[in-house]
Amino acid sequence: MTEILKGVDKVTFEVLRHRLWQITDEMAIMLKRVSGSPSTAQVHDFMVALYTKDGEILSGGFGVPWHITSASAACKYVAKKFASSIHEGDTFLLNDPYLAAIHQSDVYLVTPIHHMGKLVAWCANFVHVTDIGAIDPGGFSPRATSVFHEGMRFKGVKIVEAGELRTDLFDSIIGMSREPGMVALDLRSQIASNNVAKTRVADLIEKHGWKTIRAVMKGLIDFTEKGFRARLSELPDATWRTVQHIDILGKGYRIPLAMTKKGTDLRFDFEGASPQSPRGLNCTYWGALGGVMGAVFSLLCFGFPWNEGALRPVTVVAPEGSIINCRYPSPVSISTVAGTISAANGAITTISKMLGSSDKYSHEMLAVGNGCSCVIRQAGINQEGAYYVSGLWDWLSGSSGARSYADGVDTSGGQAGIMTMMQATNIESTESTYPLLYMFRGQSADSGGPGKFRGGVSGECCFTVYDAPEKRIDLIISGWGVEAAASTGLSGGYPGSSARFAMYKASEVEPLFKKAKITTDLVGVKAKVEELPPQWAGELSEGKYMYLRWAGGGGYGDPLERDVELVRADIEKELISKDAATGIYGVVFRDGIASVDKRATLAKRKILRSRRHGEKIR
Amino acid sequence: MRLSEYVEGIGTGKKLRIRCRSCRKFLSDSRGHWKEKVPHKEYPLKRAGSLMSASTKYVLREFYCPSCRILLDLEVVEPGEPFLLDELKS
Repeated sequence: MTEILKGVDKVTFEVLRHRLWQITDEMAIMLKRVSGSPSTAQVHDFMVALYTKDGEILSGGFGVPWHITSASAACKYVAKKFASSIHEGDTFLLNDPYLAAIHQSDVYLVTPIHHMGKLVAWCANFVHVTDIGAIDPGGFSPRATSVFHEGMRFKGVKIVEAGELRTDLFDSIIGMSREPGMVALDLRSQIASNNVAKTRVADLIEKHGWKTIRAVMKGLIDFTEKGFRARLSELPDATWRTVQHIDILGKGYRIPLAMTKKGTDLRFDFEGASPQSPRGLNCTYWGALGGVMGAVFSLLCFGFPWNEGALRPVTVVAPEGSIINCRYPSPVSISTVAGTISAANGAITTISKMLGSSDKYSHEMLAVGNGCSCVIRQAGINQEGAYYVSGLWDWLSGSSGARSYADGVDTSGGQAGIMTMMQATNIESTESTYPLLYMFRGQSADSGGPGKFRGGVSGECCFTVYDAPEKRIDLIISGWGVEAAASTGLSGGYPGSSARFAMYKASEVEPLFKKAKITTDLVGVKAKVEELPPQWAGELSEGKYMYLRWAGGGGYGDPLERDVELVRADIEKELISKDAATGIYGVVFRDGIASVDKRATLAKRKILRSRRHGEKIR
Repeated sequence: MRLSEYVEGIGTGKKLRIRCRSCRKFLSDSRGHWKEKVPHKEYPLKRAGSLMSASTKYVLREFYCPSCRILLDLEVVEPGEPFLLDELKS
């Protein structure tokens, strides 16, 4: 058998490569099965991975990919800081965004893996806990002006010591949360997940010997680096640019990105990014790095294990004091869905532009999908009379950006086009768990960015309080993308729709319910409508209906190039309106939409093209 | 060489010329960026669809082939913001 590494043949290498991946898969399954929190069990807001003894990424697994690099930083920090006191059976907890994490709500648990008494590797995971004791319930804190308002922050503590849970610390942590039960479940699932990884890696070493496993660990990282660099060498040297805009609190924040590929190196430079915000939209460097690497893993490292080898060719430059790399102690609680998403959006766009300059790789292009956040948290007294805090994840029904050969996936799940394992909770479980009633949730016609290939459509939903003892609950909104268009398109494709938050005060809906008439949209409903800003905290009470529409996916190519039959099919499926079909796509129909009038369509498209003359030529 | 869905480069270095992939019309030579040579226009975001923001803080900036009028590229920017110019190095 051919040796691929010293003492390791090709087959063994492949078997062990996939075995390591499978261990991370089992870590994810353990998180979902042990934790009962909706965020972990249903939404999948977590990440699992294995690391080398030095904290380098060994196997990035299931979950939100921009945490793979942050958990690496957590392992490296703990390995250095606690070098003399790391023992078998320990597990460390860390969530400081100025050390490694992205915001405090994302709690990392890192566990050393020993063999024959020596540290040989780390396993790590994060879970977005339900409440971290911040100024606002739920962890995303629109009111915070400092990281000190954003909840408990740990720089690395032993939550498990020599195999024993430190109940003093555990009880203190959950006692600082408004949702101690849910946080306890999450922390226990994290411990269980790392225990599984530790056991499986130990079994692997036992079976194959440490020498072989060590060689495979190093070989895997070299394999990815070599393959990634070879892929980069097939692409032209150039600089590609894009810009993202976060619109919030009456102010716009600009996040430009220039990505330069030279030889087999890739540099992402956010020079020119707006100064940091007084609110928690900022991300620390770890958020910027994670956002970029999430896109690198997904769009450039397909076919390779996601590990340190993917990081080696990459440099991320984020100006200190900017929204993309804020200074301590700036607030960062909204970073995952603001600064970090914008970094990811920018990276998706510049990487896709690079792929688009290659005949070989242009089919891998992807426009931005679900590009801005529509986070809503809820808190109040539930049907059982107990105080509760939770999220509402409808916006994670998502929308994906268009590809260079096909439409984006409608309500694809996830965000930013690279996190499709994230998903919304189902309405039935939300309604049975919380004092809420949904009027409707469905796809939103005309939300996908027009193009030769259309961006995936997003969705909309509307809900009210139901069976709430106080007849009200609190809502906290941490979003953006109401004024701007975050889901940018590619090669002339239009952006996906903006987000919308609105409160409908409609007295006529409840009597309809009592007559068993369900209102499935808000068309024709007499209501006083208050458009809500994307950062908002207020009350949802009886007679009020919260409406949300999240962003559609960006389109690809000129809409006037779109196949006319695809346009007709889109109308049939209620994915676009007839107005958009004619006004944007230039398609004219006969007999309603029974058939396309090809001659009239050619004429219409000619007219629309003739109007494209521009006001001036430089 | 292909640069995007609708733009390609012919030649290299100082002999590099950029042309439309749809109609083969040359858009620029090595002196200046092609985006600075073709017609462009800024529109309200609403042009992208009825569910798009009515805000005037941001615009769609469209770049057209002067010959076939295909939509070569589109930027979402603040009005008057500098063009997003990709630079080919090889």
